[in-house]
Amino acid sequence: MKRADTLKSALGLALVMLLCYFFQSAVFSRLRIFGAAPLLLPLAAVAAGLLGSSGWGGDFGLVGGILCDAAMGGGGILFTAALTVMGFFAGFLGDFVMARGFPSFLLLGLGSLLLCAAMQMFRLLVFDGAALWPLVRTGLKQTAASLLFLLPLYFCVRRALRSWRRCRERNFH
Amino acid sequence: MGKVLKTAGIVILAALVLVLAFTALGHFTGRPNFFTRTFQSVAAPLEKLFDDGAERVQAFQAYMRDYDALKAENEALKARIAEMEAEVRQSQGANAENDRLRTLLELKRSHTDYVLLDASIISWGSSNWSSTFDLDKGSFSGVQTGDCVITENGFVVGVVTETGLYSCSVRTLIDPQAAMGATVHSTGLSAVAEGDFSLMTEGKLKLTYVFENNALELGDTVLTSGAGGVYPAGLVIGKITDTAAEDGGYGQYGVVTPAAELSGLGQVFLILDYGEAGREEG
Repeated sequence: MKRADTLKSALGLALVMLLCYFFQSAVFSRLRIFGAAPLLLPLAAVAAGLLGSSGWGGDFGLVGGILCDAAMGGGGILFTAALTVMGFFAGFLGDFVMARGFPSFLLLGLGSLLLCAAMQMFRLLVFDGAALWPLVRTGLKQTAASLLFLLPLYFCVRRALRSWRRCRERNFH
Repeated sequence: MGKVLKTAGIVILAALVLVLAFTALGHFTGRPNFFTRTFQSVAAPLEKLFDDGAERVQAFQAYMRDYDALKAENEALKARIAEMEAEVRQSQGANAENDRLRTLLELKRSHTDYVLLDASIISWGSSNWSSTFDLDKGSFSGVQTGDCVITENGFVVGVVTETGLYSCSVRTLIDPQAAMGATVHSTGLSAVAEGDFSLMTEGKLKLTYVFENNALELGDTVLTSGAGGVYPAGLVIGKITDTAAEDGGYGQYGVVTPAAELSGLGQVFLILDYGEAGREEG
């Protein structure tokens, strides 16, 4: 029963990740919000960690990171590494430090988006000598556009992990 | 009172006699008399009004009678218009493709050394920090990392940065990491055309390493110089649309608007190989 519940949740979460990928790569690469394409996969990875566990966060952070790098193009592995760590860390905080609710997700989601923007602008700032203000402005636009998807993603990931959470609660009691 | 009535009776009788006389005269001569003409003049507008009303009623009756037939005809015509519009769209698409291929043929004639491969854009990169897209051709079709991507007009689009079996990633010329040797067509001045993050958001790039002041003029065409070996010489990068002094005042830089309209791209061409002619200036 536990294995079936876990599998069901994993498939649900994989579906959420795939939807995020298609929206991020195909839809928002052309339809910009506030002049920027939103990042959905980092939010999904953080949600998987916070609402699931550090294991869920690490696993689906890795999946989300690979998909995010694919959506970005250029063959980088920045998000593959970063989202794995972020997902795992969000899970760790959910396990031991923070409540598994929306305010925590809001806080971690915002933090992850700002961290992603900082990582993305780092190379341009340090190695390409780009001016700081245009980079910051783009980072803020990207974060603002991504925050619009915080609530839908929270509910989608929570719904996907419902079977596994129920099973865990039954085992706990 | 009686006198008045008597006078009035006489006047009326005289008038009647006069009218009858004019009428009889008109009847015998076949010409409308004065009274008829006067009446016709007065009655004409009213008559027209009634005539118009009747005509409208008649038209409405005809419309009501033919409504179903008209409705059916209208539907048929609408369907025909939709068909014709589809045909026109198809024809426009075919014409556009025809034009593209014709232009490409010209390019091939003028650059017989180019080995070209056509490809379609699968998707644009979703990063806000770079300008990339994926093409539907990969190493299976002979694409290699470093191949140059152009439009059918020979306008520079970018360079292949990563190759899969059936797809490849292209970094456009406005990406902050893009750089190519360039020549100003009118003066022969050598420079470097490179992407700049601030300009990328405006769809432009920078012409830099120009160590002379006032060497750049607005509207000058910028071509590839062939330096670096990635892009063959003579491809059109774009036109200089703005100039400014470099930081520190050493020389100036130009803002180049690409000749290739990146946002409207659908089909592009990869230069898989080119001969010595393209490397001459390099």
